[in-house]
Amino acid sequence: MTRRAREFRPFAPRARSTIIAIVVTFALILAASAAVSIWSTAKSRNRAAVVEIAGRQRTLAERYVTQLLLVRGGEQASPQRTGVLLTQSVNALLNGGTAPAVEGDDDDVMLERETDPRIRAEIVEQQKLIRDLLANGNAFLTRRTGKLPETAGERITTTDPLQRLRVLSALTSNVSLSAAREIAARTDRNVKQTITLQVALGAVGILVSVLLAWALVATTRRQTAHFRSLVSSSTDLVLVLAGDSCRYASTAVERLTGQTQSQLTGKGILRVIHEEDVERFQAAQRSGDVKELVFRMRNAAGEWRHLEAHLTDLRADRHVRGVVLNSRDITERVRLEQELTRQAQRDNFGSQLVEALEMADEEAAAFDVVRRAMVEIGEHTPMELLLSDSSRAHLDQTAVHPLAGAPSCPVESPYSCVAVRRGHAVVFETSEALNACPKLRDREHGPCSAVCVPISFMGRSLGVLHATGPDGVAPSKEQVAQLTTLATQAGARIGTVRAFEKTQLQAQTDGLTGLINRRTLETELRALLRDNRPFALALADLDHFKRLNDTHGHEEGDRSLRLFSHVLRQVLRDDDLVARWGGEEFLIALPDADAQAAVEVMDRIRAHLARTLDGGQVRFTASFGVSDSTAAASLQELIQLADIGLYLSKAAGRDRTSVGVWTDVREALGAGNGAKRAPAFHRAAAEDEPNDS
Amino acid sequence: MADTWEVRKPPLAACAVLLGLAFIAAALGSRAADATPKSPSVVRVVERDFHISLVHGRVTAGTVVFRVTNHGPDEHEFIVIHAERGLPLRPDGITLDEDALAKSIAGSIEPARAGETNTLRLSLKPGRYAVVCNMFGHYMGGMHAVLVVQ
Repeated sequence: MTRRAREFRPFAPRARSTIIAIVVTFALILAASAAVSIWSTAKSRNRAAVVEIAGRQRTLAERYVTQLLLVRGGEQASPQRTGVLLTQSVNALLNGGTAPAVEGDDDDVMLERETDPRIRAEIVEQQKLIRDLLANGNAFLTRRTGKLPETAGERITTTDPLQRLRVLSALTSNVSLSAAREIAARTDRNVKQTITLQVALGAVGILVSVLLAWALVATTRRQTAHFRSLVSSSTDLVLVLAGDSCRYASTAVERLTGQTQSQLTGKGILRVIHEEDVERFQAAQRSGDVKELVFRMRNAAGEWRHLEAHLTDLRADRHVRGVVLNSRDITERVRLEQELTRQAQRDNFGSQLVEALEMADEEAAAFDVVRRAMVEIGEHTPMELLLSDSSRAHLDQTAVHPLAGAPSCPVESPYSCVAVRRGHAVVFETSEALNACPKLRDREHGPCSAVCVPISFMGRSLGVLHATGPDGVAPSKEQVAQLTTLATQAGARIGTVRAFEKTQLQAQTDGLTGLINRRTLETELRALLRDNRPFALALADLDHFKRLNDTHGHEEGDRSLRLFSHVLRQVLRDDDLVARWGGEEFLIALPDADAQAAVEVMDRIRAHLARTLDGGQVRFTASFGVSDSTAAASLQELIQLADIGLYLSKAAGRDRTSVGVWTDVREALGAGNGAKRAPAFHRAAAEDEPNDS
Repeated sequence: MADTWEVRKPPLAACAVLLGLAFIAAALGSRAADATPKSPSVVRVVERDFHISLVHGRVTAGTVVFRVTNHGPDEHEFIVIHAERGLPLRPDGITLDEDALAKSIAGSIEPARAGETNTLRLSLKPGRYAVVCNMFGHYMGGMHAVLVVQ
């Protein structure tokens, strides 16, 4: 038969059926035993009566003969009555019925039919003898002689009637005694059998109850084992506390604390509970009202584990008599919560930083934010922000902790920095370690710990954020995380600002000469006009530039343009504006100057150019046309006037300065319509190049 | 070596002598026990209320084995009495006076229940024997028989 997997029911009262079985078995055995006792007692009582009657026959037989003699002697006696008693008694013994009472001796006795064949044979023999005895008795009384019956197998060896009677009486007596003895012996045997039966029943009862008790014990043990294994395999930490001491600690508690049951019970439990929690712990189990409790317990490794306990007050339960704590280890949850809190703080710092940096529209403002963030990260932690310049070859200290100062890393170039090379934050617990950055050694303030976080933007390294702390004390995770956040966000912002500034610069300036371009200058000039600020304009053009280009190459041409712009910047004031107007033309604006002053400035420029070119370079000259804001109302007309001046200078033989006037233009071009002046001039200017080459 | 021989001889001789003696003793013993060399006579006896039947009324002297079966229904004893003359009764006139017959009683079997068979082995000299049951009234009731040993 296959053993089916039984349902696991640790709470099922299986012992109950065993107890019922024990009780039922005992009841059955007791009932059987009682029945046997009653039956055998009843039988014995009956047997006693039988024995009594059987024994009485002997006396009656003797009494019969005595009465016969008395009657023969003329005395008063009733042998007939005795004969009837003998006959009735032997009949009752054989077939059951009433054995009559003998006068003065006893009462009627009810007898059962004799069933034992051996005893029956004896009683039958007795019956025959009594019949013979009575026949002989009658013959004796009547003095009758002759053949008398001998039905019981006897062959009496005398003929004397009295002797015959005595022999028959003796035989009856003997046979009665024999029957009585046989009946008694059988009763003894029955009693013996009953005793044996009772002993057997008792033995069976004891055996069965031992087996059932064993089953009960086994069931209870199994049930206990179920619970024990449930409790011991459970990761729940179970404590039973009563009166400030521990009465029970589950296997899980032993495993956690590495202490034995005996070490934990009593006051021993308090040794593994955090001293800050002991009072709460005791108060909770004393009051019984507290349902939940969080406390710390020291584990075998000496770490504090956070436990969350559910308290059940079972002090009234006589099986427990204490407060039961079902605890779970929630250390990981607590750690996670702490980590989340820290994360939130960091996120807060991060979002504030991002907002602050967004408001910084130039590098200086960004650096200011960085400085404030540094104080936020660590008030007393020296920090510095080292950024590379545009060449990306040098690292410059761009922001320093305003309170704690700079750790002053001697690193010079980005790629000398290990953090920059690795591309992630590097932490050194001590500068003295073999694998510490060599740039940390021999610092002014001696050995230190350090964090170096690389700063990059769009994958390009910008520099490093560097902080130092006390030697041997690694900066906290939070600090490293905050420094990383600062580096990331500052890098992003500074990178963006730099890119923006560069783009703006590129839009406003001329790539070759570094001067502002035409559109920028126009914006500036319109601003001057709007402000009604007087200014002079000068348009400059390099003479025979096409020929210079063709003769010496474009590179030489470019170099000449750069040299000329350099000369312009050298001579002009800081306030003056100069732009590359296109090709080899330059437009110069001199605020607060008139045309005459401008002519002088241009002449100085020509002189300075001539001096600069003294060094044997490819020589060239420039022609200038001048106008001022008093000559015209619109910017376009002012530029046209300067253009006319330039044309005049070219026409007059180049390398000179001329003031443009409207009449000159009309004379020179013969044009009568102002609207056509500009195209006319441009045609003339265009014609200049081929003519001069 | 001669010493050794001297030493060994007496025990060997003693063993031989002892063995011889034992043999003779055994032979004598068996002969003494079996004074009559023939197989014993067996007398089958049946007792019942109230007479005794002998299958063989005559046996040869020597060992006589009685096989007494009681057919009942009552208990009966079995007594073998060497009785050349009449047997004396007790004053009750009903039972034999066993005390007076003590010297003549060759052997007896205690009262046996119906169905039992008992064996009595006796060494009987030639003569006339009475076999009786002397329970109260049984002898006079007819339980006696005669056995002649020749």
